[in-house]
Amino acid sequence: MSEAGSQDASRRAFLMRSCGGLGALAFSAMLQAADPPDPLAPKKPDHSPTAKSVSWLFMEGGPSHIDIFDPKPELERLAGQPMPVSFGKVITAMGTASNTLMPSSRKWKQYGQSGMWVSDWYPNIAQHVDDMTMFHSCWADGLNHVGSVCQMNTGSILAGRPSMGAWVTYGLGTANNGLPTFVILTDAGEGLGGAKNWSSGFLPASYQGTLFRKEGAPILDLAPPKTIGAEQQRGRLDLLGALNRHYGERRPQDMELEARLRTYELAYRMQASTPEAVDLSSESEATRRLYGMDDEVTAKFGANCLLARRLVERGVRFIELYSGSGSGWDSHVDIDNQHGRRCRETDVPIAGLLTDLKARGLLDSTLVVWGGEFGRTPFNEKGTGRDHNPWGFSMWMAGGGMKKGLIVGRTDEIGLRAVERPVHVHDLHATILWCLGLDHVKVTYLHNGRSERPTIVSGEVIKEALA
Amino acid sequence: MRRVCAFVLIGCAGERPANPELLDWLAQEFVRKGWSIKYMHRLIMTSSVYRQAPDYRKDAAAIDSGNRLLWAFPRHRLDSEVIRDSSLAVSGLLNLKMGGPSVYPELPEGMISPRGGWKVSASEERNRRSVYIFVKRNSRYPMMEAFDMPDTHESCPRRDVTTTAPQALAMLNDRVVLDWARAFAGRALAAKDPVDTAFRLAYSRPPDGWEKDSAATFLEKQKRVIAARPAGEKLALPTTMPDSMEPAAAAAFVDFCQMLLNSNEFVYGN
Repeated sequence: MSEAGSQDASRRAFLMRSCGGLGALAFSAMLQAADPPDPLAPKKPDHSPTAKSVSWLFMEGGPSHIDIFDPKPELERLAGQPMPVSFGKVITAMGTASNTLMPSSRKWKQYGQSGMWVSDWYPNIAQHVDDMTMFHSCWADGLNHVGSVCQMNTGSILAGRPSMGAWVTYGLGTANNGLPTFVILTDAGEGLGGAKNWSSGFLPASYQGTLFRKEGAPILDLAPPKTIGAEQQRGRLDLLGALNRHYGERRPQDMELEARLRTYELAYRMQASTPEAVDLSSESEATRRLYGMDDEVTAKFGANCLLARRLVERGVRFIELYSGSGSGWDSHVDIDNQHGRRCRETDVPIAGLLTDLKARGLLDSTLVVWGGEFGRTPFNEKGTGRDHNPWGFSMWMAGGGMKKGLIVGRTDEIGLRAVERPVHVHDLHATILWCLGLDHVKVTYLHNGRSERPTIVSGEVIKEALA
Repeated sequence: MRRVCAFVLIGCAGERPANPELLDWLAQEFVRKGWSIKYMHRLIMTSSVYRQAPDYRKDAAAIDSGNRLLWAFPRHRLDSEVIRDSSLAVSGLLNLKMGGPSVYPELPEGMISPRGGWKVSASEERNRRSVYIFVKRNSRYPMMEAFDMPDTHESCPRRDVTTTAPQALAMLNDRVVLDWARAFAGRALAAKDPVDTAFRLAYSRPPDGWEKDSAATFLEKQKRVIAARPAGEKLALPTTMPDSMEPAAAAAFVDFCQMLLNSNEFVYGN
């Protein structure tokens, strides 16, 4: 039962104002036409998209920008000193702001035509800098993980809003037949905040993301219990179809009853198509190696990256791949070992994904996003770690209509704050939606009397990053 | 549903009411009766409009195909809780005990427990009404979620009603629903005419001629399909069944009962 909420508010207001009764009449007719209730029916984008799908590599816990993509030589000079007052005051999660500054232990090199800096933690990803737009000036609102992961997904640090993947599903419908449109892959435990990060919020529940299980059938209840045989299941469905058609004869033209019949056939097809999509055994040895599946350290995230490519090929629009799910990047102590491990786990798989997408001609239509919920502080925590830093951090995007080899924005000399061309989470969201053909101020849903949009009340598309 | 007053959508941001005079009268009546919500519920629910049958009328549909003027009771799908409670009631499993702490019914097979754990309640307890199911803020009970239970972080003025494949997967494949069907089958098989009893339990009416024939044909065919399964494969049998009954026939009857629970007539309130 699609509602007025799915309509463009300004168009509605215009019709109401301009033609009074006639406009209202026309509007009612539009609502009626929208009634056939397949919530996932494909919808027209607001403009021509540059990306068909998004693969979001979510480094959960907060990767340190100043140890991976954003070198700060000034930290060498100020090593062991408290932060100069000129950088201003901050309040951090662990109250570490008066701790001394800690330079990066990494070795740095410039790569590609663009000359982007990448540390020795990401030697393979570094080979792809000329395909990336690097955002060095990201900033977010939350100090702590649960709120910040939530904001990176939904735009708000408070729970309850729809995730970007849910907005995309609502705005565009499905592009496949038998797979979810929005899929979440984890490599360890449950991410902080769990399902609220891929929730449909106030949108209908059918727009929420589907967490793929790591073992067995990827979707809950995908197959019947073992006590029901395959041919038996077909017989059950045929009986159900007959009963429902018989019931429907007394209610001609009831679209919802028709739709319900269709969902059972779709469910039946999913039972076959989903296991096929997640079966990596048909991939060649070379491909599996490309993603690092032959190495114990990289095998897990590599398998998820390879699965993401298969889902992209099958028309899944929004895939989120959590690295270190359960806050694995949160290195308050011993950042060298903790981050080192996470970087080794992700470097080869992500480089493999970019290489593979490119080789298959899919990178142009797939927007790859890399980042965490925030970065980390230039001052130390407990001597060997870094605290949370939402005031300035790095993210990059590649493919799907982004410029190649572009750097956007800058942090200050110690990497604490974004000082040039700041890019807020809302701006990132607006840009990602734009690439998929959605205008973040036009995708609205009426909730509690207000036309809600993905970016709440702010955010702009980062136009200079679009190819 | 867009009726006289489309809740939360009325006013300058929404649609014009289909019957503004009626809406005005209702508003005045509400004030006249001392703002009694109870009175308004009674007034609306005992009105002839509210008590209409949902039957299709060709003449009315020709004038108002969207039923905007309420010439028939609008079709409505049962809420997730009502689907579960009704299934438990039909199966004879519903525990009507009131009050006390929340309960934890079984999760779908293979689901990781939500954070903080999910210790499944004893079998009697887990079959309490759905209103007693523990609500975790960050994860809804999967079957409720599939059938449009709202997000638990925000207020919700009205539930959505969607029709999706995950709903079909839950009702078709979840082991909990199969258990309901097994109990339902046991209950119907204890009666003299099991098919007739199953229809009466699920739909509150006897089957018509076509339905009787279809059920008989299905049970016969499905029995053969099940009997042809490799020996040693376990069957989903009724919780209780006559001693003389062939296992394949009994399993076919479970399938029949589960499809009644899946059917449109069951999950739509009218």
